[in-house]
Amino acid sequence: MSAIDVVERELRELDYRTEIIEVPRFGFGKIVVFDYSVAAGCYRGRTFRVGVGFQDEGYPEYPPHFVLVADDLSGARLPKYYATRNLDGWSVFSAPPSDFWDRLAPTEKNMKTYLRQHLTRLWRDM
Amino acid sequence: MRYDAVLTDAVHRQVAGLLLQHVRAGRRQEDLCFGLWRPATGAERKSALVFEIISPRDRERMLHGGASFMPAYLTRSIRLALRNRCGLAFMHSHLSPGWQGMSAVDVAAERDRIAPPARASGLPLVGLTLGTDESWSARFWLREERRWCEKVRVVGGGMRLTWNDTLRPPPERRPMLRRTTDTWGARAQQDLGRLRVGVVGLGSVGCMVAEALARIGVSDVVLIDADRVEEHNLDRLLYAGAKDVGVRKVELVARHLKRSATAADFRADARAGWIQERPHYLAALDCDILFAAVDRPLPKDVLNHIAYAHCIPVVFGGIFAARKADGRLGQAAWSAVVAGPGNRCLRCDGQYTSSEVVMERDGSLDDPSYVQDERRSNQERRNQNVFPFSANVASFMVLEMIRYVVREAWWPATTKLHYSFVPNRLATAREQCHAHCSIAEKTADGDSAAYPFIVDPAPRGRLAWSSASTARLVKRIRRLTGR
Repeated sequence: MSAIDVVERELRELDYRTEIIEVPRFGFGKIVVFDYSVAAGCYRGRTFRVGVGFQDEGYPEYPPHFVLVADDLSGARLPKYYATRNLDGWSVFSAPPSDFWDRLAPTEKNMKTYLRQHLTRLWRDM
Repeated sequence: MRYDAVLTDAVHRQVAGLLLQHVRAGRRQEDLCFGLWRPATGAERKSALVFEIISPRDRERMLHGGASFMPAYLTRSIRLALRNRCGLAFMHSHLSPGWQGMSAVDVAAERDRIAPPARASGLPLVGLTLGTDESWSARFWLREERRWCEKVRVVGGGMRLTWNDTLRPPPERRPMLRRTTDTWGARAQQDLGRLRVGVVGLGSVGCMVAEALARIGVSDVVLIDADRVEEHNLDRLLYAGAKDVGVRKVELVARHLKRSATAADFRADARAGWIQERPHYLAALDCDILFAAVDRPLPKDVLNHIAYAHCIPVVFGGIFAARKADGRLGQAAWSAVVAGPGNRCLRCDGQYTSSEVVMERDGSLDDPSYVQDERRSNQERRNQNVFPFSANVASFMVLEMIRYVVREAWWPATTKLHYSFVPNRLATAREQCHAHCSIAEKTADGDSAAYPFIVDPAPRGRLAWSSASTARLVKRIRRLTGR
């Protein structure tokens, strides 16, 4: 099972409706998209179409760092590493969970942790 | 193919405690036990990584001066090997020190009684014998053919080596090495002189490490680096002059090492490529110890994997220099650390993160649009360096390696040296991995823990000057721009 399939399976187990798509100009392979309800920050209460993508194998040992959002996020404070605001209608940014991922127990390296500890704070900090 | 056997220090202590218990109590009594091993395969060497012992239960073995096992013990052990998808090892003790030969009884037991059923695991039996001085000897039983190991390595806080002098004779004492040998003794020199040592990264630090290895009598060096000499290297790169710009670093270094080498049969295997390319990765797996003089996350991760999964210790050196806003030197520090079983891994030591590995893999670290990226500026800061900084960290690294190999039991096991230039402070530390370190958990997994990012080398064409990740970046830019 490829890494992207594992990511999709884990999201489905969390009751997200998922889909694997290709964003042609996003040069790093396929992404898993799902509807994500923001719990904190200036977008609190809104639901966005979110994609998680990376080209490599190695998940969950090696976490995804690209997050795509299918909406205009102009005015938002995007993560500092990398951001493209309009790539085929997607806002693409790089947000590596490098501060905590390597310290997780193997059983905790999954999308549940990624969403709870990482994606939540990204939206909170925007 | 050459053969080695490897035990972690923890496993060695456990086995020695069992097999030498009688000798330590003053009785002339041998003993035996079974164990489990996994293969670790390089380009020219297969190592048996013994990772677990199967202690005998009551009445599973008999002691009568010699020692013998009951069929139930063998059956139980083979079942465990099958369940763990690994090979069976048979270990027994002798009543004399040093590398041990085999009696006719030993041969009959291993070749005729244990090896045939052990092959049910799909792997050959590995037999090991322990001497009274805790020296090991080992052999693989390939069908009925015995292949002696070249050496047995015990790795942990240091490296304990037992050599098969027939396959790997000790180097003769040479006049040009007199001062070196007299400094740490003939035994240490015989260990150092027979090691195969890899140097990954031949920048300013790697070159000086390689030079030191050649001078102290190391006879077998593997050099891995894909880069060529550039003009901005000339203020730091040993051997390099203006005429060498454009020359591959491995070729330059290998050529000069042959002049510096003090070993009689010095060999430098120069490999122009990246450690994550399969042929060079496999060449690294043939080494007994590796130096990591690299600054990118991916090679660090590859070497960190090798240090634990394949039990090949890695001596890492890193330099950090930062300027003040007005351009003056603000801070400079460097450290040398030994990664490997029982020691802290490079990732837990903060040398890189798995996220950085992913970003290097997909080209993000080289992406010009990371304009606000503090990691990018960190990378630039890391590249600030001067010759004496490199000389000092190279010296630290070689000292750590020597200490690791020649260390006696009573020496404190230091695994990190950290020097801060501005306050002129040298600190030592012995630290362990985080509780859930997945790298350390791969200890002695060998080939069964495949590293995910090993690639077959691309043909060296127009992009030969570039790193693999830069090539991916160029590909991505072409895709985005439609050209």
